[in-house]
Amino acid sequence: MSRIIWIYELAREGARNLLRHKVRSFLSLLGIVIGVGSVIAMMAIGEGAQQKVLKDIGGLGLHNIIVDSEKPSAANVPRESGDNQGAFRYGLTPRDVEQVKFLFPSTTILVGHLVKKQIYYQSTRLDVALLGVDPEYFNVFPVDVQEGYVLTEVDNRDRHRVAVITEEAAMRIPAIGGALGKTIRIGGKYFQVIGVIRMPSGEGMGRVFLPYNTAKELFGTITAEDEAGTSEYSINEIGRMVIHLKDENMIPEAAAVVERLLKKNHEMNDFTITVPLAKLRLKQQTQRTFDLVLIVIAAISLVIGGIGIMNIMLAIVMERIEEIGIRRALGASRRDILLQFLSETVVLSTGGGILGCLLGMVAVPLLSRLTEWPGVFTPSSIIIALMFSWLVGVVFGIAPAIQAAKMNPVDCLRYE
Amino acid sequence: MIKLLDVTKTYFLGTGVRALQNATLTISRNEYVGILGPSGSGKSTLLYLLGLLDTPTQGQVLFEGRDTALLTDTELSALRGRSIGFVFQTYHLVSHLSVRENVELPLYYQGLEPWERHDRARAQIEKVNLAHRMKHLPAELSGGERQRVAIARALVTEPKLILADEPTGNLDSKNGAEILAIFEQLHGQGKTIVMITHDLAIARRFPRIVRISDGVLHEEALA
Repeated sequence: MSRIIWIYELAREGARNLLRHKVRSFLSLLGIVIGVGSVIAMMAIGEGAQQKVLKDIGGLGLHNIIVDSEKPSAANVPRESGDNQGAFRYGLTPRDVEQVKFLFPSTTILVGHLVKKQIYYQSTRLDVALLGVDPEYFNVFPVDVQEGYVLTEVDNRDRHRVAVITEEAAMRIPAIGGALGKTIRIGGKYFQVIGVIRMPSGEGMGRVFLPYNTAKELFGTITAEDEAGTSEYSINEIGRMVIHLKDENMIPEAAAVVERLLKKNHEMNDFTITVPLAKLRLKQQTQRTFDLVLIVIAAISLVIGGIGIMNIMLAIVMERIEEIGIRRALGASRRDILLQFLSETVVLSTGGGILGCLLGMVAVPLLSRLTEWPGVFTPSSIIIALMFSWLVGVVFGIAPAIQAAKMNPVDCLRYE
Repeated sequence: MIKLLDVTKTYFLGTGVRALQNATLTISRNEYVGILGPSGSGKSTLLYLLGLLDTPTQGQVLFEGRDTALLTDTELSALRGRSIGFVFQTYHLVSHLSVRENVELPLYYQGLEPWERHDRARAQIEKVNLAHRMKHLPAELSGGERQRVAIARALVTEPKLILADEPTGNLDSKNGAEILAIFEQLHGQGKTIVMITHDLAIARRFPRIVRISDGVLHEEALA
């Protein structure tokens, strides 16, 4: 008899025996079903979380070190004298950029010019951040161009009055036919929207980008803010510096060097360093802990499921003692009996695995909706779950099957 | 064909009970032997030893000259499946299998392909006139029909030796007579048959009788 037919007949016989007691078989499966279902659900949610993290942080560019100027909250900041009397200066300076360039001569270093102006489309205030950037910026950050173009060297050199805006900003423009080609007003100056981009980043807020030189020429470095009735002037020369390294391995060290340098240059705490790669590593660390917890929970639930199966198989063996005796008398060896009961357990646990997968598939969208965690199915999670349920069947089925195989056929035939 | 040499079988149920004591018995080819004794006398133990289902505590069981103690479980099972057919008083049909499936069982353990099993089982069931019951479950049959199924199952492998443990014990006289007729016919076809009974009326029909009481065998020739 060929092996395939043999396995098929064993499995069919196992399934038939189980189907004779549908309710009992189903109840004995519940442990496995719930165990596998929760494994599937947790793997999907774990995977979803991981992908979200990768998307959020990856959007910042894993090869970048981002330094942002930040207005310090401290009141005792030094004031300028002379022309800009009363204004206070903070954030990154051209000197910082020069020194970083000196330290990393072969890397791309970008600067951004933060403009604190309101942006209007007709009478609608957009309420988004404004940044003057070098066109290279769009190469260093992974952006998707949705419509139009990004800024070019020519725009920057010739100080064109053009803007590239993010999708989120575009959505705030109440214009028929989308934002592309529309004119927006910034500090009394008019700019044409030449491109709409999507930034797959955690910063994904609305943003408007102008050419660096245009922004610097038109708006300068001085910002006037009205606070509690008095005007305050502040000077910020460089809003953002992006250090783009080719080699990922250099990033942690480079970040440390940059930080030390800036700390030496700045008395105030007026900058923040963001290292997306370090953020990602940290998240991955958390993810690993989460994975470990998941594995432990999965193991516990599968063991409980396995005990449920073992329990029912012991009962099944006891109830089929006569049959074991008959089969032995008709030429079944111990091995035949062992395989008969083992195949029944494997069929049972595989069935539980399949039902558990279905349960997981139903549970994930529900859980995602309830918790707002994204759930992502991977085919491998289903394969892993099925293999584990199969393994549980073998491990917990072997003891009852051995018990059945070891029985003395004469005792079995005499058993009433 | 099969030989017991000074066989003792002891069951350990709290205290050791000797079910069979120093039994020596030779069954030759084409013999029709009746084993007679009251219940508890050890006749079933004797049958199980002859059927290679049990192993002796002492002594040897030789099957066609081979010492069965030297065989592995797999070899012993294969030998049992191929050469020996059992018929029991309580039929011992597998209750959740159909008539045909019950008859197929010993062929399954010989590793035959499904279609070959079907054909042989069908032919054997037709021989015991139960073709119309092929798909029925044992519970749906009468006692006589069940025993005919059991006989079909014992014969489907074309065994050399048939061991019957009071095959008519649970049947009325009409059905019992039918079953006995089948056995006599089989004997006529050259099968070796050993049958346990405690019914003297039946015992009269055996050419050779072995009496057993309290685990001790006595050969007896009946006129």
